[in-house]
Amino acid sequence: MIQFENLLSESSIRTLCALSAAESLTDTVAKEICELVPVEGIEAENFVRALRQCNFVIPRNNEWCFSSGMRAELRKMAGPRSESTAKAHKFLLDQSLQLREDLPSYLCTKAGQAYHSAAVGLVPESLELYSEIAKGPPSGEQWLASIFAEEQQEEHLLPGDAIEPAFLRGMTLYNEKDFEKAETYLRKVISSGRERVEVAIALHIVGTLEGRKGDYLEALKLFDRAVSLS
Amino acid sequence: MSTEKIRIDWRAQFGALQPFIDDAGGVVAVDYKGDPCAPNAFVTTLVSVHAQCSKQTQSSGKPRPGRAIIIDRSNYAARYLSELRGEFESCFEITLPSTAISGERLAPTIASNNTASGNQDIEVHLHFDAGSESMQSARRDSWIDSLCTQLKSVLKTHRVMIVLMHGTEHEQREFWDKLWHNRLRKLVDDGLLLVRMIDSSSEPGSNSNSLKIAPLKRTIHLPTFLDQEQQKAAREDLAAWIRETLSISHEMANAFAFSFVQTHADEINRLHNKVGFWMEELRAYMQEMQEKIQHDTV
Repeated sequence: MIQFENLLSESSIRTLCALSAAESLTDTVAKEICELVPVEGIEAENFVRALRQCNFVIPRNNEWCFSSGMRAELRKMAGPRSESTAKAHKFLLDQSLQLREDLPSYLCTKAGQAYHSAAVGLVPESLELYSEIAKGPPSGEQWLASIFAEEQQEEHLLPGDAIEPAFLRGMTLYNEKDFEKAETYLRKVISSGRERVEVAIALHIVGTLEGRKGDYLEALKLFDRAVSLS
Repeated sequence: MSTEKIRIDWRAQFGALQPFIDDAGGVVAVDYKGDPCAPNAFVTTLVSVHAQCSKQTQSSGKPRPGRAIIIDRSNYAARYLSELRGEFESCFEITLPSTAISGERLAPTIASNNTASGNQDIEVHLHFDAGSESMQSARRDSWIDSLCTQLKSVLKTHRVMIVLMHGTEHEQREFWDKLWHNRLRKLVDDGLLLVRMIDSSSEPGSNSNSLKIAPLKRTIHLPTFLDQEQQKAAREDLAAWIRETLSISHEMANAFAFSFVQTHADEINRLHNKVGFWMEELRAYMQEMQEKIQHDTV
């Protein structure tokens, strides 16, 4: 837990909250966000330089990010719809559509676009992107999208009855061979009762898992339901 | 925009690491107990120190700058081996054989005409249209082979470091089995350095397999607080940084450094979280003083 009151001014915290809208940052993009939501009395470049000294900043290859605890804390402090955070999300979404080489790489993925779309209220567009990612091959992007979608559903930026977050998470866990947790998420998808390919896939996978456990009748029931949807 | 991480103490640790950073290569472990040891600040400093030119030169007499890659499961681009390929390309400016398969979509074939009578075994396969396992394996082998060949060349002109962030052996299985064992390991004699960050405060897991295929040449430990000697070193580092950044006298820089280290020596994590912002406050303060002096003079 960072003791902000001892560490930073109110305006610095506002800027940090704006920066926490990004999953990952480059110095250039961080500076641009600091210019958008300025810190009183500190130039953007100097603020980024100061930030890079911190232990709550995790180095990545040519990028950096806040530690997950720090980012969660900042997002909680800001609230998903605060003005400074909203500005940062809009800026990041706009940048994701530009052909810039100095962007954090996640911004150039569908996961990044889906994340910032939902944050600015483009929910149907975001869900479509999340759904596309879920149907693609297993990848780091799919894992990232699953984290994003779950986070946004918890923050009520995505509707509570949207199946994409649970489907993404379930598929990622299944691909990582964490079958027990995967089943929990995929059963959530099944319980939606929707007539969608995601539900058919979830039925199929859970059926396979039931078969492995030896509950063949349950497995067959699930397979039959899957077939009726395909 | 320069955002170089300033080194504050860690002299014993960098002293022990220096031969490996310079040229020796090998596998070293950095053992720490959670955030109080400021492991992220340490890695940022390590990459910064490693990137600087060392005394070690190429046969042509040119210095050998360092290049590093950080492998961290919390980074989507470094979580799975398939994407790690791209990270290697950008960190070492190399081009590796593609692993892409055109038109990849999830296209499961779902069982049909199911009936149940008596005991039966059910085996159903999800078919992903992404080529057979052997083809995927061949593609993976191809880029990893190419990586090893190209890194061997890079090692002739650069020092190369891989930083493997903390994770259980299970989580890092792909790295150890597919990338390190019989592959990157062979480059240790060429000077490849692998730094393993090990958080000994987290859930203990077995490291026996990875230690067998990557025997440690050295383990260093990160402290949670600064003892008297470390405080002295931290004061010197900080004072030098203040002098360089703010162009002020030795005495003044020493006094500022003394007061900061004195009040933060008990928590290294807090020291690193605050030092950058403290420096900015100091900068603003010095600027204000200068303006006041100028105003009074006029």
